[in-house]
Amino acid sequence: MSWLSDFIRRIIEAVVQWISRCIPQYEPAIWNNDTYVRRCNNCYNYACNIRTDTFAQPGFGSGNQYQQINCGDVGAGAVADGLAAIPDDGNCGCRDCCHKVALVIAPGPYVTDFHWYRLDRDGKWSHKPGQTAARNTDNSGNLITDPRTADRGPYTVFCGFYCVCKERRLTIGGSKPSWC
Amino acid sequence: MDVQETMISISLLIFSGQPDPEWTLDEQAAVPLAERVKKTLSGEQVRTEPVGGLGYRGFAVRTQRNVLDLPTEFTVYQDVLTVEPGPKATHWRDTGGVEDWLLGQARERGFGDLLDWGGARKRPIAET
Repeated sequence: MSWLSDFIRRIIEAVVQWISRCIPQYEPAIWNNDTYVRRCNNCYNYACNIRTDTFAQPGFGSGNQYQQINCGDVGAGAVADGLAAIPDDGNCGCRDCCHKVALVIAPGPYVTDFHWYRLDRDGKWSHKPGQTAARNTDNSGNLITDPRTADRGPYTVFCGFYCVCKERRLTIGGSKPSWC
Repeated sequence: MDVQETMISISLLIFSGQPDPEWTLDEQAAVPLAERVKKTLSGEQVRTEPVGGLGYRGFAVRTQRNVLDLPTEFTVYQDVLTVEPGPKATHWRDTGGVEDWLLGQARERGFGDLLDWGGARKRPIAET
């Protein structure tokens, strides 16, 4: 019956490959090597794996840009763009060709900002701080296995996980900054 | 050459989601910058640039043309100046004090709290 176990194994491998096709590979050169792409796409572009060259802002593409930088407003903007919030231990499922991302906030009081991470096919997390290069290491130079425990510098508040699903409506965008 | 083409734009690389603060210098105001860049680019070349993390990550400087013989695009961070960031980049030890000068510029423009938040070093410029 070895042919049966072999057959089942191949079915499982095919299913895993089918699901994995939706999860981005960690290929930083795509985002880093062209200076225009690197400086005109930010953490949100990278996490969604969507290049707009407009330094995308959560909610801008759907007409619901955040008003304040906090987990609620920025998260709501992302949901309006088509992302889906999931519980901390949740996954994105396999139906709508999704990958997992995470939102964190630098909470102020004087300076606030948001940042996004994405989970790549190799099981590690990567990110792109603003105009600078995409990387898979945190502020301590360690590979990111979980954005909740990574060294995030001043982005001390972990907001939550979201799914970016290609087979749902996604409209991310931004007002092109002067350097683009 | 019109005014826009002689302007030098400087981005403070500090945010991730929001656009970074940016300001421009005209050709005259950029002379001290150009002198420092020239000194740096005549000095020690290094193999790589520091990566940085979330928070302060240096400055990006861009010109439309080679105003004052400045590279059209360079970054500087942790005392390494990188010309044409990307696969053809060259990296130089910032012996000319370009980053220090830009940090002073940023503080003069009111970005001191932002720099402190982002973990930038505090170092006054030696001369203006």
